[in-house]
Amino acid sequence: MSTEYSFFLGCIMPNRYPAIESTTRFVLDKLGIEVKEMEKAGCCPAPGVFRSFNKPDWMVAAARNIAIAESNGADILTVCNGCFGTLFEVNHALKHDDELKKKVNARLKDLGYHVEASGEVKHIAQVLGFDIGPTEIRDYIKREVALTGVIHYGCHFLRPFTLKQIDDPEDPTILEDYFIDGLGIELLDYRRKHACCGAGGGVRAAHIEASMDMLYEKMAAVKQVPAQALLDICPFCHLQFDGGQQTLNKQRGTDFDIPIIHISQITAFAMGMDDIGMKYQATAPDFKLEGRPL
Amino acid sequence: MSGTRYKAPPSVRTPLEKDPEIEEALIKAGFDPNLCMQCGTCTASCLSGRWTAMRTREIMRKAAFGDESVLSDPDIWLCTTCYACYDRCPRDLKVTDAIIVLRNIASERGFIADKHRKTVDILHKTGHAVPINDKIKAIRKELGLPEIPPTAFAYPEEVRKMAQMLFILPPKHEDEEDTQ
Ligand code: SF4
Ligand code: SF4
Repeated sequence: MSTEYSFFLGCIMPNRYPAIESTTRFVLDKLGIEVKEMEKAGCCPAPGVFRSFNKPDWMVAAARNIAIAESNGADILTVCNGCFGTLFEVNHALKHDDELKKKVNARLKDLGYHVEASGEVKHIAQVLGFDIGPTEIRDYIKREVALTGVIHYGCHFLRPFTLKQIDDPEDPTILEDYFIDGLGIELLDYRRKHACCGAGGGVRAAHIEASMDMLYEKMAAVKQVPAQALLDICPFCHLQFDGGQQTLNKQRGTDFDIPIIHISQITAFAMGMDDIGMKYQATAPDFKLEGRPL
Repeated sequence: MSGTRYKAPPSVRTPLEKDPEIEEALIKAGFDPNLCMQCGTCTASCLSGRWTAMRTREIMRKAAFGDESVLSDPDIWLCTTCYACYDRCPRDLKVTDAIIVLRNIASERGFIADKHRKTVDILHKTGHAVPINDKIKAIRKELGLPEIPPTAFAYPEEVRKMAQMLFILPPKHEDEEDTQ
């Protein structure tokens, strides 16, 4: 495991769920991982919308972010499936295609950057769940989390499998192992566990009805099991679940009220942080996590 | 928009009327049109298709035939890029990537929803797709974070340079539906 990372903030985390940022910084600090700021980094850019308009431009903008991390001399860490999807894919493409790298660099020059694609792009769920792992994380936590929850992987952490090769996207266990064995959480299965949240691909931006239909299916399945909270690993899924439950309640008369907790937030709680910023969220702002002695 | 949008019945096309740009882009994206056997695994995997009129297999058939009507069809924009079809296609075709390139050609020809155009405007102005606001600034301060993250926000000159070079969208196609 690396002892330092270039922390890629992206858009939704710092600008909608800053508590995910502060808890991530807390967790990295406790793990002894040094954070290198990525000055001037922009949008990843989002793999749904921006890649759809112009894939070559999307690559240049992503390569610019990768170049910023390279000038730090430290691999990229993201806490978002969308940012991971973009930065991983572009980094991978540049690594394996010298012609493409030349083309991208020719355009990057006008922006004042140069990319080598010599480093790696990591997701926090991979660092916590695999690099550190469920056994070693117990050396860092101060308490277990007394919670019965459900989990949502989101799409771009594991898919496309040929590219990511982290875990089997049809039946993964990386998060189950981490939350159950590492943090002492009880997890329940539910019918649409591996389904998309419905936000990606620019669908939430332009086709909100369809996006809410997909979210409804997911939340209705969650409601069938007695879960106290839904755990996720992506601020965009987080926004869809947290804000979307309120949209559904308002527009369709549902009564969804499931607190949404990001892997950084729940890990920070296990490491001793009491206020993980639930009060800033739209759904279940009064929700309090309970601890259990190790 | 979703669910209850009925489409005109399929028209008969002569196979020679191919839009060559479509075929070329599909092959480059890892979707050889001749390899798609129309099994429908992609449609069966598609969560979006369960709730909307989008049928992935149908999109891939039209695209494979070089049928340009696929480009103006808003259905190609209902894909959430979940990659379920991509990972499951028995012919290993890069279905999601094919949809992305179809969207690229559609965009080039001016088929872009107004709401998507707005996202690009925000990116051009701030360097981010989701910009900060006063409420979040206050929360960031409470959490002990810098009020404004040290990203492109703080460097307007960088944002301007990117805006001049990236995602310059063509004007709206005359047939593009108004999505406002
Ligand atoms: S799953 Fe693959 S082969 Fe089957 S219809 Fe879809 S694209 Fe064609
Ligand atoms: S990637 Fe798009 S087309 Fe394929 S299953 Fe997911 S939403 Fe459907």
